Amino acid sequence: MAKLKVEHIEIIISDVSNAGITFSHLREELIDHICCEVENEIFKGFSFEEAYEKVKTKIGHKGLKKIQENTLFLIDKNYRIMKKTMRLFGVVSMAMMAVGAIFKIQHYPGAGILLTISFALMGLVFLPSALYVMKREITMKGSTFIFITGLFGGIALLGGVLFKIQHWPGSGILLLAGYLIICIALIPAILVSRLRDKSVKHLHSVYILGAFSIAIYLLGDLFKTMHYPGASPMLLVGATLLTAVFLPIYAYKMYSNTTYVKGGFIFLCIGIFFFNLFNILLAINVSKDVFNSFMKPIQEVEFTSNFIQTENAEIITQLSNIKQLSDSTLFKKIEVSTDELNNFIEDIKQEIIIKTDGCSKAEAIEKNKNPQFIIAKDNKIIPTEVLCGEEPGDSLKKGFILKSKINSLKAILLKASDRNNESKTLINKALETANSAETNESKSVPWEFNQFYHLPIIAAITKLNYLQRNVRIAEMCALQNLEQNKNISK
Amino acid sequence: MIPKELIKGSLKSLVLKLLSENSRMYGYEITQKVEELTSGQIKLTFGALYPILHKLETDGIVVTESEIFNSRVRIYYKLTVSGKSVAQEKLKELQEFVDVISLLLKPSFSI
Repeated sequence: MAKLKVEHIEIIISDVSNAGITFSHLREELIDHICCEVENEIFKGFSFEEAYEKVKTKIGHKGLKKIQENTLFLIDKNYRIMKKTMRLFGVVSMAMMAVGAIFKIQHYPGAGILLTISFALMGLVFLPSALYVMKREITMKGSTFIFITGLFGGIALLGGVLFKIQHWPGSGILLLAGYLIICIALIPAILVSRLRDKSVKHLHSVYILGAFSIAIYLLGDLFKTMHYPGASPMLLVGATLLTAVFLPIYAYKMYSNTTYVKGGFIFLCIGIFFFNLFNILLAINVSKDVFNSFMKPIQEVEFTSNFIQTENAEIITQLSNIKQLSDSTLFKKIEVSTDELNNFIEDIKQEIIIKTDGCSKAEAIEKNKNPQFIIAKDNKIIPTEVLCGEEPGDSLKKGFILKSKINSLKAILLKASDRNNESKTLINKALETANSAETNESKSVPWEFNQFYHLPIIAAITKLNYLQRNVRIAEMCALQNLEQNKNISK
Repeated sequence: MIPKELIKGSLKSLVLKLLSENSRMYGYEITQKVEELTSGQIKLTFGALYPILHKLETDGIVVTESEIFNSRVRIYYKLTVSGKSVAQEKLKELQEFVDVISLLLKPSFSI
């Protein structure tokens, strides 16, 4: 029988050690066994490389690790129980969590119970058993610390999320504790143990980068949930480092080392993808909620405008029935000018919606009523272009024309209420068109520029809606004044 | 070659049989011996062998001793005193099993 050279044995020893075989004397046995097999192949006339390759193919990828798992499974009752527990409760709690989440989204009854049970199973059964199994399979320096921090950090985090979802008190403390344990204790401990492993020296810089970016990302998450300032830059830096820097470098290092893609790497990519997706979806969902709650008052503004308009129309009918009015043309003039201005504003709104979304006039009218249906809600270019232009004081823009129309209506309305100071103040306030005040930071700019420059369309529509309401209020002031005067003259 | 499923249940007994006939054996030697005795009909993979050996060790049926061989450690297994009686019992069980199975498989000449 051929005898292996010492350096060849060294290769086999280091490969088996890297496979993570730590149980009892299994490592020595596997080394000896592989050496014997290789010697046998060499005896048949192969070179060491060919022989070792053949034996490795026979063992298969992760074959050695599998033997260790089988051994543990066979001899260690606790390990057996824990592994079964881990598998069972992992699947059960995940499934319950998914169903609970669907129930929660759909507002079906029972979501709270499902989520509570699934989180409890995951944190108190699955997590400890999974960590126990991992601990038995992997023995590395400082691993006890890693597993303990992992356990407590995980439980605190899961508890925090559950408490937050269920709106129970104490979620802040739990989340804070969970994130801090993971960022300050768990991640550094894992990093240190990885750095102690000299066999993966070429990956050390990547590990540092990865740990750093994950820690930043998680802290950003924490800051976001706790509403501390500075969350956004942390999330941005963390996410960018993770996906745009760490992942490519890690992928390159892994590829340059192995000829096949490991399953773990694919999981890593998918994991990071979902990590980001989840956060992005969360952001969208939050802004949607905020947006919808803001849309409600806007529709109420329109309701107010319409209501005042009906009231005004009534006053006008009453006024037109009286013959002996001091100025019988004034209220007619008020009615015509107000309606004209109102229609002018309506036209501006339709124009910017048509230009922004590229839709028909009919669609624009519909979208004007329900601004949440505007597609490019944050378009700032079209409102600016239509209403004020890039430079202050552009007299060809609609905003400038709007201002002069407001001013001429204001003059008429003020004339109608010349004896009532209260009414005058109100009209002036409702139809304010003064230039912006000059401050240390900024120069005074015209009203239309101050109002509409780089304003997202959704805000421009809102602003114009409020303006329409103000026009109606001002009209009401003037008309009421005329009516009172009529009573006096009687 | 005999399919794995059929061997699975009797592996432990086969290993005990070999150990009771030899004073001490190491893993690779056991796989080779099985292959040799059955002229390659039964191939004992080490993935199946080592979990069983470790199980026997924790159950106190075998003990191990290590030796340096050609700049690597070699682990030998041998039966303990109590292990020897366990081995005999297991072999008896296996023999009975074989007998019963052959009884079942005997061609029936009844009409």
